[in-house]
Amino acid sequence: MPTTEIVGAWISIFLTLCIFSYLYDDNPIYKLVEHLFLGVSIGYSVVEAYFGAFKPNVINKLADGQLTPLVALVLVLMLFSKVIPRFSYLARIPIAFIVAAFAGVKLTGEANSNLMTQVAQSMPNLAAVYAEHGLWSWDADGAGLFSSLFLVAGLSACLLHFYFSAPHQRGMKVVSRFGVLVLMLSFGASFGYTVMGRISLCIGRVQEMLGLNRPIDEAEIIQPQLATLVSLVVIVGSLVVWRVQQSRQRGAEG
Amino acid sequence: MTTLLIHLWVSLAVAAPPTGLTVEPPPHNGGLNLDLSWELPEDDGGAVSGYAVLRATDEAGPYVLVADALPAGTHTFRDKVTTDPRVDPLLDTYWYRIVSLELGAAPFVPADPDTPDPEAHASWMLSSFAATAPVVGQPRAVWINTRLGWLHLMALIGVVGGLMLYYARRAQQGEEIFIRRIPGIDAIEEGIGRATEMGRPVLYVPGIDELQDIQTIASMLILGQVSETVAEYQADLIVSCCIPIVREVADEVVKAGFYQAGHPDAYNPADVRFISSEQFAFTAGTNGIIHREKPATNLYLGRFFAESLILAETGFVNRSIQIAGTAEATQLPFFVAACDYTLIGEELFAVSAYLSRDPRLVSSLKASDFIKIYVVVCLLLGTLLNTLGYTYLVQLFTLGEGG
Repeated sequence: MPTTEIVGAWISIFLTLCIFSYLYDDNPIYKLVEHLFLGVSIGYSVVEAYFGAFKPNVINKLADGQLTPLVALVLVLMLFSKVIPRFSYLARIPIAFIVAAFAGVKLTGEANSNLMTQVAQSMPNLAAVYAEHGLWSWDADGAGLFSSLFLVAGLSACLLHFYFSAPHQRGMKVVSRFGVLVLMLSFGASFGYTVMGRISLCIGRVQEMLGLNRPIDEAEIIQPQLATLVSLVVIVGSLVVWRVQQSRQRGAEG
Repeated sequence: MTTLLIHLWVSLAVAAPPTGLTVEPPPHNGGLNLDLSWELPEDDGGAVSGYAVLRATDEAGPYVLVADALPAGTHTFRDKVTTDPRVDPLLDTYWYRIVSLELGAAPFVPADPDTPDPEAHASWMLSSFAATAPVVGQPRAVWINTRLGWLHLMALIGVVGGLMLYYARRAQQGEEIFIRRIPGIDAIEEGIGRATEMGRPVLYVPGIDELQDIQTIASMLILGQVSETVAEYQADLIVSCCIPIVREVADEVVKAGFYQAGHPDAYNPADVRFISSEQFAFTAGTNGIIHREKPATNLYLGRFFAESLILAETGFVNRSIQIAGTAEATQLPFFVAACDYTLIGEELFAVSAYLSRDPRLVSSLKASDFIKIYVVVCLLLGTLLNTLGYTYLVQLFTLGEGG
């Protein structure tokens, strides 16, 4: 196994625990890793933007004699005009271009996926649903007449909750309350589902730190458990030193 | 002897090709596809195990393989002649042949297994199996999709545009247009007031998506109102951005807000910050701002993903007043759980109109209200009609293929 992989695994475990130190407090170790993360991510995104977008789409095409990328290049240069206050208004042109172009492109796509298709899928044939599943079918994930009626009523109530042209009084108040109830039910389900996903991510990190997600021979070389122990000792030790120094500083000041 | 005869028969037997191949451009199409259809040979499903589609730009070839091993019984295929006309320009004509694949035939062995060679594969197929005669097809673009659903959508867009003009005119004539009270939006001004009293800044996070996302655009409109109020109260505002171009727009918006409020001198470009375009690096940086600069009010308005709970939780620990708003259904539960007020979906788009009462923004709100009532009526009526066996309304909302 290459040394870089072993060192990389140790650094990964150390940085994970540094981030976890945030659970104790906003401390210098967390700050160090936060700034490291920010710096690396910005450096990475600059390189990625250059080699992934700018070079193939502008430089290479210009080198091939294509002139179309010049339009994009001029728009990019206009963005940089912000550094010269006298010409900073030029930066608004590419921004307006981006917003307008994407607004036009997305209009039908958004209307299709978020309006038309959803509405078309929310008009069930209740007789057919009842004939197939009855009132409620456990075998078909709850499909049935009840679910279909709840879908239509819940969706209508949610839409009316977001109707801003009338006060929520009398009948509208009841409908709106029902809409909010439906929203909260769906939020609750979504919350539980996502929390389970986050817990599985956490389990993944713990497995990495304990070496449980690697083949035994690989784990024997990398020694992730030792890396975790050493990292913990270093981090806890540093936090203790930092706290003691802070207490002394406060004592000297006060 | 019998075995030898069987081997000889098998080696000589060539499955019959399909007949009646036609190549037509699909109706209601942007011109990038061609529809192929053919009649199945008699031994389909027997000696014929499937079909392959070959395409060429000239009748004589060379042909390339565009569909391999369509199962027996398949008699139609839609070919996308080019995925990007800028890279692969659209031609006037394309030639097609359909190959009948024989049951038990040895597979094609390419010269280099790691590099697919559709031309060599097609050539091998034409020499090994029976194929139809070449048939030509011409892609044709349709400028206006005349399907019922698309016409309906165009009509809706037209009606919404007309309603916006109508309400904007009424509002400009001084007519008071009613918008119901939305508590979450009222809380934004309270939050700014609280920050002013405490002498601590207001943190504004416009989500992590690109500028062209509708939620980011809505967030920039809200930022204009927020920065104006912050300037009026003479409080401090920090804007934390994940996308460089969003930072540039936010900078312009905040500057305009401070000018509008009559305090251009209070505007500080260093308070509109680009943190990182990497999601969790941005989250870590924004968490750092919350911890170290201790904003009294955090406004998370825009499109958020997995960072929503991390940000809201940090703000909660910092005891900031938190108002969030997003149309991202998967993140709303976290904001509801960790923030003081949450603007749910459509409410985010109503904020700028509600705060500014600008006739243009109010008119869009009224037009979207019309669409909501229209959709509710269609839903209820459509369900009733569909149950009775009439699918007109379902078809009215079915767009089918686009370009």
